[in-house]
Amino acid sequence: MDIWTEKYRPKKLDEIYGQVSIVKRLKSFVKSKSMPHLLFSGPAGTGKSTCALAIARELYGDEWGHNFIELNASDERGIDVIRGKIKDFARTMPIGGMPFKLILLDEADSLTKDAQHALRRTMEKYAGTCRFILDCNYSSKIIDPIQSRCAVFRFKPLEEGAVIELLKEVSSKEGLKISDEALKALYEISRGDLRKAINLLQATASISKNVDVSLIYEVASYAKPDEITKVVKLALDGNFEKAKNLMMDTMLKYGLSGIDAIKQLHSQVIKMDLPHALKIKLIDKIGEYEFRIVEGADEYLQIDALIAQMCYLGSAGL
Amino acid sequence: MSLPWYDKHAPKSTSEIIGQGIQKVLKCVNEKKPCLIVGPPGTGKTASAYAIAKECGMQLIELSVDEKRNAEYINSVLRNTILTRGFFGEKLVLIDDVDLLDRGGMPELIKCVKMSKVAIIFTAKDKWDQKLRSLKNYCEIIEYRKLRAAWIAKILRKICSKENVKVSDGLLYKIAANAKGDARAAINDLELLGKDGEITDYEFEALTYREKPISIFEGLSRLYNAKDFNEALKALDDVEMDINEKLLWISENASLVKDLKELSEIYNYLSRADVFIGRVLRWQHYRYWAYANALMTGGVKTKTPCYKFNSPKKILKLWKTKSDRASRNRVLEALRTKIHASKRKLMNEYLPYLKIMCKNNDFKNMLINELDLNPKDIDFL
Repeated sequence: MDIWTEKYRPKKLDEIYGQVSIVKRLKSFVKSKSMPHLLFSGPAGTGKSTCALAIARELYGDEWGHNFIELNASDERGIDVIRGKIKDFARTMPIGGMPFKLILLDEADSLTKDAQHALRRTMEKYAGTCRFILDCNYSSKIIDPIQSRCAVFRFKPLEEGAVIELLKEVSSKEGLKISDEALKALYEISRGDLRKAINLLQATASISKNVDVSLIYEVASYAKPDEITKVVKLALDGNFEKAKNLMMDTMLKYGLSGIDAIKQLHSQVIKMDLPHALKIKLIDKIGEYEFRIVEGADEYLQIDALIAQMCYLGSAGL
Repeated sequence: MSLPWYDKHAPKSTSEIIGQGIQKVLKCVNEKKPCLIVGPPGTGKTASAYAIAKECGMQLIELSVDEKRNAEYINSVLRNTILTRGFFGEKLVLIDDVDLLDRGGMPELIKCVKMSKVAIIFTAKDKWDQKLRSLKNYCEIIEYRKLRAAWIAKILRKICSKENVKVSDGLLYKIAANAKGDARAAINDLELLGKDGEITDYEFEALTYREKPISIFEGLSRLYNAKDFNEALKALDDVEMDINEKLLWISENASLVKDLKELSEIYNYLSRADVFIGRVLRWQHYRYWAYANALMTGGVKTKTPCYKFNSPKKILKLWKTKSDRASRNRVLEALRTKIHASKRKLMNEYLPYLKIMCKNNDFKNMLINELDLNPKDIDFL
């Protein structure tokens, strides 16, 4: 697969950059072929899934597919998945004389509370045949009873040195010419998120093999379109109709959910240079409308309504 | 044989159909162009077809709701009818209430319409009905409106003289007005009251007010022009639509308000109404509907009256971007098996970069081959 994040994903624990102390402990689990349930928490692109996949490969070798499944909680997050797919896999014996099977549950923090409670029971019941690795961004979203059943590993954003070293290696393997400033820029933009850094590098390299700073910034800004910025500006100028239409088009174009859109509005407002009093009122409103969407309301209507509030606050010149 | 009066005194010629665009229908029939008459009940849609057939000496073939109008029926009955010329003069096909076809009927009907050699008239109640969307592309659309009370009174007067019913002009007008634009209902009422040959105030009292569904446009007009809060609350009661759809229409038109303070207040209430609707589903507590309705009607009632309304853009936009969204889903689905990430992660963290990479043709072709995609699906990137 010629998508670099996959192509250069480490296959073994030894190949993993950064996260030294975590890797050390994981290796001892593999060596003794015994481990507790694991909870990996930390920001995106720090190697959580990679560690889990590497453990599976090292434990089970080429046959890893039989004793390992990977589920994405944000795609399959209902209680039915826990009761169905996971339970079915967990209750059969491991193959090839292995002590246990392994289930990787990615983005576990997007599981509903009910699903988490069901999961807790499954973890207990089938502990004889099965281990879980739960990946999440925020461990606080995982219910306590699950946390207490897991060994918790906190992944930190990769340090600059490790990111640059790895990007250098990828660049030389791909035959790219890349300057030190460009490497630094990649780190600055990605803030230790390796997935983002590598994606950005590949996108830039698809335009030119000669990667320099200005090209990186250009691609980065292209990959992160600023429609949302425009929406906020239009709204604060009191241009309701235009702001609302642009928002709907943007949501449809990028497949943004209501919550995604709210998140972006939120970070945009934080970034903007606005009077203190206006900013805090805007954030209060944004929070309120996020709450309403979570309560089960229609996202398009709620976003329209939020924009109407922003229009008023902006025009009132608070 | 005793026919009901509205049948017995149905219009015999096109000149008896008043206040509607019958000339346009006539033109379509002469040109053998399919036409769709839309309008509320009792405005003369079906009567127009009969009157035209009679006046022009055409053979009327009617496919009405009392048949099971599914694909098979349309295929066997209609196909033969429209492909052959009439034996007893020209044919006129009337398909009443075309919005009420049985399952599978509509696609078959459209196939037939495309190759039809005879005149066809369709009738339906509501122009905005989703089921008519594709049919509308193949027809001339002619709108019939509710009849004015004065016109209905004229029709009633004619019938009275034929049936020897004594009634004052004032009372006749009251009967006409009471039918709210529905001539058939007015004639029914007249028959009911006038059987004994005379109608007095006493008989009129017995006439019950007829509940009628109204169009969303009329509902919105009632809402925006309501005298007070309580009237606003009831404005949409007679619109036959589920509450979510009503809310969609109201919110679309709420943006017509220009004052930003008022706008933000209105939207706040709409948003709250929407929250209550969500809670009904979540908690199965149906009383919340009362709050939702109050917030979405009473909450948007404005000081300025308004008479012109838009239909929701969201549905249109969703429909227009449907194929793009389907392509995006197929790409994500294919990527998901290769890259260890959820759809959401793919969408947020990979798609923006893939868009750039796909400008490079080598990469694009690689992606198409690796993921076994239809090249068209990639194009949306």
